[in-house]
Amino acid sequence: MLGEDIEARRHFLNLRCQPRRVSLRLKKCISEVKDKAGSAQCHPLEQRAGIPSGEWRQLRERSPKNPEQKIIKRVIALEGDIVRTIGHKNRYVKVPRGHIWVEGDHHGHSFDSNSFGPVSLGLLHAHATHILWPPGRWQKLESVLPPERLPVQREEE
Amino acid sequence: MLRGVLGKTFRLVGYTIQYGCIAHCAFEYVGGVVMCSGPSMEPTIQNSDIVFAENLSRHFYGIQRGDIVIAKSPSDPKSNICKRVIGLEGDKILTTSPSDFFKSHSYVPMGHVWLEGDNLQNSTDSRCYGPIPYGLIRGRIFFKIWPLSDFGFLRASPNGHRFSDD
Repeated sequence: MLGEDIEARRHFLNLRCQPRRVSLRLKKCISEVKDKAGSAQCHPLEQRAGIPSGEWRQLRERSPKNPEQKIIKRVIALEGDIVRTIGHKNRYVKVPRGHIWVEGDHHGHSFDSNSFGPVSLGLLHAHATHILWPPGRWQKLESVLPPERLPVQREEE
Repeated sequence: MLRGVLGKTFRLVGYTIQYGCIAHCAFEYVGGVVMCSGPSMEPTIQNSDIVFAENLSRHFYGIQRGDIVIAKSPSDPKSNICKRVIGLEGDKILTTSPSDFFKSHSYVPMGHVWLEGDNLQNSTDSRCYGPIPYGLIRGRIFFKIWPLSDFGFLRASPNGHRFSDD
């Protein structure tokens, strides 16, 4: 009986040391918010998410031009939609299968799909949901599509 | 009695979580065993071969020309493709067949790679969908485990002339 107690307690201690591994992964997710390209939004908390079609979210992704960099942009169009571009070499672009069109909220000062074209879904890293810092800017990031950026034609389900 | 059972259950759950985390980190950051399907990499990798893939090269940007890589498919993020790296960013790639009289070249853009299967007649690769972003690469295949007759490191490309000149 006593031996069992000691065993259980030792294991409890062992378990308390192991969560370091789990918390390291969590820290990695949070620390990655630090750098982003362009004048986009500030530090959100991330969570992994799929993209349900029809919803417009802010997404964190690996930059297609520089794989070390992560950028935060808003999803404007999904696969099959036709987008009217701003500053892209083609006036209208149909988003290919398995890709999305992302844009920063600050048009003209944003390094987004208008520069590098549609982004493959495999590059998607996370969904930005809230701003944590600075405390004066605590807010939930709304999934809202600006009305002037509606796709010209949406793919019917 | 109940305490004993509860203790054992918690211990089991604890071990499962611990080893689950270790396994996840290993598969994500170190490497794993992969079964390949499809004819696009014959004769180097046949259908239903089992190979060993490592993920360290992609994290340290050590992918080189001639490496066989696993990448997420650009048109379907849920499926993976297995091809050979023919060109890195900045390389000049021959996009037409070498036997064509009028050859055309293109340059691989920054942050992208050009992939081709070894079985050129039966492979959908960058000749079809263009260069893919480096960020889609998941790992590098370097060792074949099954079938045992082909056990060992993977051979170089049988299409040596496809490699680009800078």
